[in-house]
Amino acid sequence: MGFLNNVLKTMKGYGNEANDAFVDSQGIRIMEQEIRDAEKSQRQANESLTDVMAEQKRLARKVNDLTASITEYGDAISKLLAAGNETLAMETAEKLAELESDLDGNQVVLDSYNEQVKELKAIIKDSSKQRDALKREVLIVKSTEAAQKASVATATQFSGTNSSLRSASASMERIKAKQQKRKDKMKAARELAAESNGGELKNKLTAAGVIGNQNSAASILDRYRK
Amino acid sequence: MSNSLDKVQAALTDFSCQDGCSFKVTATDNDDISMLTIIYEDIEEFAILATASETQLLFNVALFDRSQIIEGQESALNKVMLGLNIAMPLSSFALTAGIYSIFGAMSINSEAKHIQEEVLVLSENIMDALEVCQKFLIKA
Repeated sequence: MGFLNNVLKTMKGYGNEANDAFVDSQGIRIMEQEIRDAEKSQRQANESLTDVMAEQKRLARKVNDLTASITEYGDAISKLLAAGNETLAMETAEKLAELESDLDGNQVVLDSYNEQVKELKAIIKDSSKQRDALKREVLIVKSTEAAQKASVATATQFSGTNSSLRSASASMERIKAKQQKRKDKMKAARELAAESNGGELKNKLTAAGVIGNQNSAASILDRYRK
Repeated sequence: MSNSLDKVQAALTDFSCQDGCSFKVTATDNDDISMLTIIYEDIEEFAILATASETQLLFNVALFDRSQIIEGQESALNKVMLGLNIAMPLSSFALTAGIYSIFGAMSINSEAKHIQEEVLVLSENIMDALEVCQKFLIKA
């Protein structure tokens, strides 16, 4: 089964059946434990991969050595035959036969190790992708919860008193109104600038509430008192 | 705080876009969660929450929960969101634990300029996404 299907199964398992939004916040706590367990089994899988790869390397060395010997003995046979030394050529050929069957046997085992390493790596990669996917799910739920808890102090969209969000429609209206007010102020500033100059402009901007009356001696003292 | 989130915070502090807009970034780091709360301009009610897994940076903005959807309109809303996912630049719609959001995900190896672009585009998407969803939502 592909890793996304596994993720789907896990998320559904930790959600409320009636709520098709998959994981709910209670499920997250249990899921976190599962992620920790998955991390542990992944460490074990990595260890067994290391063992298998060590064996694979040992076999690959052996296959290389055998191949080299086979070439060497083959060359020797050619030279012995050319020199007319049939008896020694025969003895060497017997040794070569042994080496060749040894190579065949080892090659089959090496092939199976190569295959096993590929499979183990694929399994580890898939489970790592799955774990990271579930972790991201946990991060989203937990960060949303944390923002919810912090909302008493900030003006975020969370109501702070229960698990629901403030009305998005209402928030949008407030933001739009705020943006409009800012635009209006800027527009007023432009208009006033067009019809005034110098100190007159500043007075008009202050009167229109576009800039504050911050430069009075009293306000400067206040600033330093803070 | 993870190195990845430190990188995000560094990329956004003192960053201002071409139009002069900027972000207010607050870090939360405790046993339960490490995250950044990123507020863009006027839209402080829809904060971007940044978190980091081993491989990805996540930027998520909670928009509304299921209870705010007009009865019988959930399927239609879901279809609209799926249909607009490709059209929405860099961000996508999501539904997690009953809360609808838009989010952007990127590699933890991303550079500062890419993080800035991702967060800026996500910020610009917030009001546009809400505007599309609004007709499916209960009026305030």
